[in-house]
Amino acid sequence: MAFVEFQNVGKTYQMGEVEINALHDASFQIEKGELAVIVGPSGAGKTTLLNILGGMDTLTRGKVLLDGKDISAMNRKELTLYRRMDVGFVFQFYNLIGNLTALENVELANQICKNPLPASQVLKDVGLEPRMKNFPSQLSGGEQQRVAIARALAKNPKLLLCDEPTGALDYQTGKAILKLLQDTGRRTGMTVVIITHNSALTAMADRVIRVKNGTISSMEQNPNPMDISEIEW
Amino acid sequence: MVMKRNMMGRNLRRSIVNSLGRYIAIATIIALGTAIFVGLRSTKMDMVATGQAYTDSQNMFDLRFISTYGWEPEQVEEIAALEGLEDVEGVFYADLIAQSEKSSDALVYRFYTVPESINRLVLLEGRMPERADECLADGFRNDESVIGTKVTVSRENSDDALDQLEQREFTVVGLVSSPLYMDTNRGNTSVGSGSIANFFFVPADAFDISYYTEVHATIPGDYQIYSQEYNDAMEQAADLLKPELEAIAQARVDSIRQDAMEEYEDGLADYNQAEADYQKEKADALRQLDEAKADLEQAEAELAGGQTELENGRQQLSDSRAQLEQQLQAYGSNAQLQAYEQELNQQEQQLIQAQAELDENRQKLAEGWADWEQSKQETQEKFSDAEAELAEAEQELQDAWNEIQDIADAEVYVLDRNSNVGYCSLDSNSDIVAGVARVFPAFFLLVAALVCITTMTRMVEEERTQIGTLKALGYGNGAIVSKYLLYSGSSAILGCTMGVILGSIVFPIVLWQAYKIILVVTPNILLRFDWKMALSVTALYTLAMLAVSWYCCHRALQEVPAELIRPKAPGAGKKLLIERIPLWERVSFLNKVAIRNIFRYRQRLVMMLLGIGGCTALLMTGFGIRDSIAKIVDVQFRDVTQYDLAVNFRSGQTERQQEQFRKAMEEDAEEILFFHQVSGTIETDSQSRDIYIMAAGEQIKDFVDFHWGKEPVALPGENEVLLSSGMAEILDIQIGDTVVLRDPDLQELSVRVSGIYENHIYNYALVTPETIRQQWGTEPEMQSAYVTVREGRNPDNAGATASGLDGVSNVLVSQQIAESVNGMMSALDLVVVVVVLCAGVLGVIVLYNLTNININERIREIATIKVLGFNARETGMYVFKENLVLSAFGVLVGIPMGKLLLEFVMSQIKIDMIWIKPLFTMPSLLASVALTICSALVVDCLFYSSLDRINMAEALKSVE
Repeated sequence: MAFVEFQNVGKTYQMGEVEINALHDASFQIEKGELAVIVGPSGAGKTTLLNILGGMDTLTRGKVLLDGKDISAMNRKELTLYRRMDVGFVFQFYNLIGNLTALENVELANQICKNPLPASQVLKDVGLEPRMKNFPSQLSGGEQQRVAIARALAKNPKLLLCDEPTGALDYQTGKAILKLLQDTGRRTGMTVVIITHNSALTAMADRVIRVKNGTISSMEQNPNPMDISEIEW
Repeated sequence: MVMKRNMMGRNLRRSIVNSLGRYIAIATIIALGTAIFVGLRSTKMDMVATGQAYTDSQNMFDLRFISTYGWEPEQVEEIAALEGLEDVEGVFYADLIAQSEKSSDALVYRFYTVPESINRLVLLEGRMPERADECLADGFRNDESVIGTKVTVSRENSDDALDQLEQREFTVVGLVSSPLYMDTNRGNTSVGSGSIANFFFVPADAFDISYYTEVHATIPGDYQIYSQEYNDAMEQAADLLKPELEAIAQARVDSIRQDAMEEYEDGLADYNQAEADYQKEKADALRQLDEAKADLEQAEAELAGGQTELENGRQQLSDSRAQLEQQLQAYGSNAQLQAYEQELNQQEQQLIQAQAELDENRQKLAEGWADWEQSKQETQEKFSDAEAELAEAEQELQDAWNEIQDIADAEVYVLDRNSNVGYCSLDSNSDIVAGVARVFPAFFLLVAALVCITTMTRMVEEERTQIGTLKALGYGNGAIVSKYLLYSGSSAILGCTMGVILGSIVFPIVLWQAYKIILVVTPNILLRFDWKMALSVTALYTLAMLAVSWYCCHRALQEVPAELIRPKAPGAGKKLLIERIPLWERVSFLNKVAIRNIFRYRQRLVMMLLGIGGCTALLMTGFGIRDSIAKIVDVQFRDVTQYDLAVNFRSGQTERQQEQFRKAMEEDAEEILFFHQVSGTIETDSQSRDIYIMAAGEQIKDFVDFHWGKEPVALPGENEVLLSSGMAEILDIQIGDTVVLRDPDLQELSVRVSGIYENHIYNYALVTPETIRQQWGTEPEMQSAYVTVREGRNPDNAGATASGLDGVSNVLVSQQIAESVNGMMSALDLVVVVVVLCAGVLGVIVLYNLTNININERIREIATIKVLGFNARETGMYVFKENLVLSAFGVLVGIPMGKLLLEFVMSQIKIDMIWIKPLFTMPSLLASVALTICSALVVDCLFYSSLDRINMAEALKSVE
């Protein structure tokens, strides 16, 4: 069985009297240690997919499994625990806590899980050792995103979920961040899921899942993922 | 243009709807501030207006006249003819012991005659009396069930009192209220237990009235009650009327004196006549006796003469008989001799007869003497009786003379409404309300402004992009600002409207309900609407809110649209000073976050401290007002006043009179101290005030406990004065200052203040008798006395005993004063409830507003930590920890604030003659703290579930 398994997942939002089918009949798998890119245009259902996979939202139909655990059957409390222990998030806008230093932002996350990695070590790994004591406002966008990645990694999660991690960054910095994600996945064997609208990123993925009109339009494995530095967009 | 305004209007409406919580928070805090201010001010105004309407409609007296001799109906007519008076009515009342079917004991009741024009009654139930044996009862202390029951005047009453009564039994036919009794106090009397249980009104023909107890009068002119103008007018009228009334009263005394004099003179004439008659009678009787004696003596002499004659006759007879014997012997019997013998025998016979006669006469004479002796005896007895009678009559005349000498001149008192306890009670109670009202406006305005600042700042921040867009579209600053001005302005007006309505209607009604426990005026308070106040409060709040909003927008509008459209750089995190302390590393992580957050938003920190501190401070003030006022009685009568009775005499008591008083009170009194006390004035360089001037010796220490805090205060020395705290505070007198005391005769004492002692009720200046002797050169008059009652004796009864004694003008029983003041306290509880409620609402609103803004501002942050896997409790703690820490700080700030606020409120509540020492009790402090923390917890609970509702997808959204 695959590490991540979506089986005919559907999500319907009830907005007043209107029903919106954000996602329907979505099925895909991601294997352990893979770097998967979920790609699709705006409004295709990427975020819904991410929300469900990240345990932030429930689904209407279907089944989601992670490492054999049925996420779709979890209650709120279990979902919280799931987010806490199994998932690391990287947000488009970093979402660092403004009045915590880089180090403290990382500690914020690893304080609440069972087997955290030492915060300073992780920051060192993402190349931010000299800026550990800085506040987010004193860091550049790329540095902030590194902190965010460190924060996600420090939890030692089973799955690293990245939502448009380069969306708010310039080209070069974005590349550096993607490199960091790719290297991290390869080094630690962590499963990394990147959600983006930029199809150029598919070249770096082990697996590409395309989303269109609320469902999975294709899923393919990339036997030879490219190194980030070779990708241009 | 139309389109534009329309769209902007729609924009405003949506902003309001979307942030309804904040909008309402601003409106509510303003409503609260306005409601308290307008409410308390209106309540004061309405209470006075209600009192005014009541006294007007019932035609309450303006002045009352009391003469020590009462007023005869003719005198009342004379008074009615005086200038400057409108209505004049004689008032008759008698304090009688009576048994009501409704109470188990016989109590003292004051029986009034039903008034006609002045102090008219309000019939609450039943009907007015139609017959002499019907009466009206007090509607405050009774319900309808008393109608139909009987009141029987007891035989225990004095004969004088009973003689005035035409009826002994009355049937209650109605319930009334009287403007003479606007509070629950029913007064004191010298009859029975000394305290009057209640009043009854009976028809005039139930009494045989030869004089009226008082005369009540009204003065023409419309005056505002309790106003300086009114008091001045009454004082002036009293000054004008007093001499004329004295003349009228004196005329009666003169006529009494004249009648007595005439009676005395008649008596004297009778006595003199009787004396003369007696002397004459005595002389006659003595002469008669002498005559009788002479007669008897003459008869005695005659009797003796007769006896001698008889003896002679008997001698002759026996001589003749001897001759006859000789002749018989010589001559023998012959006819001649026989005839002679015959003759002799005859003569003898006659002699015997004469002897018998004589004996009879002697007998008679002896009887005559006996009669004489007896009549002599009788006459003498008669004389001594008559003499005793005359002596008695002489004594009586002497007594009558003394009594005439003792007829005192009439004393006339002209009193205004301030002599009526109920009238004053309404005033002082409304003053408490007004005093409390003075504190809040500034405070609430400040808090409202702060709430508005935080809200508007937040709103402008949230809508930066929108503002930038509007500016980019070409809208002018005015159009953009107007939205925020309209937002805050409309919420201010909404708040003020709610506040004014709530304040001018609900507050007076609720407080009036509370005051009905102690005030008996009309069932419903008159609601007055003060446009000026309502508009000025609304204007003040609205302007303040507009200014604040303008200030908030102003900064944003300085920026160019391009800057505005871009998200504002998030607030920079900063190291705090405390982080340099080595211990910082050991602070738990969440606590670090909380502490940083606390100091990150200084504006909010200030507001939180003010809001929470204000909440605590208000609570403490609320409880403190109650504590302080409630304790006055306790403290005064437990810690200061040690005497049980304060007795005032009509005049200075001589040693002999003092001794008599002591003897009369022996059974009840433990200790008695006579001292000098007059009501005079105290003067500093700039001001003067009324004060009781007392002169007493060392012994006063047993009757009054002079202390300041826990330290006893020494008695004054020569040319020194000991002042009570209230006066020292009002006149700002320090120890060592020199003040002038002036007695009613304008004599001056210049004295140095040697000490100030705690005293809550009335104001006293204590000097030594030595000082008076030295400065005035006269002996101080001892016309007052303090009495402590023996253990086990009832002070009420002792008071009644003292009241009945000669020369006593009035007696104050400490215990009764304490009880009546304590009755007032129940109404204060509601004032406290109002303050406490307001404080609670204030705390909740401020916390709600801040937390609401805090959460809105940090939605991304909160969503993020939720995504990171914080559970509900951890998220709650993450957000609320700072709330709780700030609440704790707020409480700490609030405690000294509360102390200051209470002192301020207390300095505003100035009740005449009462010194209130701001006082906190531990339970009140704890309750204030607990309630503040509770309101903080309430708010946190309100938001707890809203934290739960925060959508984690927020974390994914872009920065606005």
